[in-house]
Amino acid sequence: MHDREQELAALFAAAVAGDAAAYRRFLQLAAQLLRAWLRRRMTQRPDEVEDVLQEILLALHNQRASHQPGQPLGPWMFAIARYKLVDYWRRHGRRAAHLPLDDEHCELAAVETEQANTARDLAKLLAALPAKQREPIRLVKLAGLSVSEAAAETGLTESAVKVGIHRGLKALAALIRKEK
Amino acid sequence: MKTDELITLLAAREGGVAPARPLARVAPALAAGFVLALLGVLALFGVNPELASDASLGHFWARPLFALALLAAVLPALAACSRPATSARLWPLALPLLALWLGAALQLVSAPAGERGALLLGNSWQSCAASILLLSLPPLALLLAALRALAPTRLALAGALAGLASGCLAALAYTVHCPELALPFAALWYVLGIVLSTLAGAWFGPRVLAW
Repeated sequence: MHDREQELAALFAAAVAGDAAAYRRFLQLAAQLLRAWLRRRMTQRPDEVEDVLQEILLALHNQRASHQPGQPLGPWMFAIARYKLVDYWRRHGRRAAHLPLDDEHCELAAVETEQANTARDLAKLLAALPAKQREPIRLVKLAGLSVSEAAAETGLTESAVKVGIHRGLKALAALIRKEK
Repeated sequence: MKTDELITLLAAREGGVAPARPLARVAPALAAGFVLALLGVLALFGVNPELASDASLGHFWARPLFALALLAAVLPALAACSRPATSARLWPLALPLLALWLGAALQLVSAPAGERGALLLGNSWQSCAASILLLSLPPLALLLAALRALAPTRLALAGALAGLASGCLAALAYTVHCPELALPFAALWYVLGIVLSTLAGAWFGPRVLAW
């Protein structure tokens, strides 16, 4: 368990320093841990686990600057997870009173790798974004262009491309919150 | 959508990120908010004509010092509250309040019984708290906008602390207009104004800070 906290923290530290491969491994490991965490809390609605998990991962990404360097990563990650789970329940008309307060260090024990498909359609969600957010996300995040290549392609400045991605992914989270 | 698709999207070309500095976000909102509150005082209430001579009296400074001390106590809590999983220490908020209330109580007990009502009510008790609430709204809007760029998870608390900070700025600005120098007056009506702006923040928090 302790090793896993260290592994997560090391991957995250490398990720915020700019290592995209480490970031990918961080998100994969986080997804496995959070899926197991959600399964234990959503025993009545196992088919909605993956929906909430995707919201949490998007939130972890959008708020990744909010982790204070030097502070433990597990409590930060699970605070975001709990916030999004409570938010999900409230939006779906359910009380969150039965959400147990837990020791996050124990939560790092279990992983769940089997993943379900959600009804959410990424292409449809992206299509709802304004062009100056959608195109940077499409070019950089889906087609794999660098920021400068995407800037040349769209005629935007590099900082406009970065801002478009940043705002677009936040807008994506807001769109998902509005869907039922 | 498969979760792996989302992870691939999020991680693709990810170039790292600088850790957020909540106070660096909050400070410009505080500064601009104070300027707006001050402009509000000038536009709506006007400057106390006795301000220059009042300011030479030691006890004039009790109200601005109280507002600044409360602001200094709320800022670390507000910064902590703007991140997930950091708990805000709220007890320092009690210190400026207790100091003001103690000073007010001493003034009350040492005054002749017939003057105590005047010390508490002054000439403007009807308008003081509402004026502070009104003046706190522009700074509150700016502070909530700053918090939206951060990641509070306890939205009512974050909103309340933003409201409290805005109330302090409003109270500070209001001393430019308000001719009431008695501590009991401040202990009652200034505190009530700040409580009202705190409640306004707590109401707005969950409505505007959700992410």
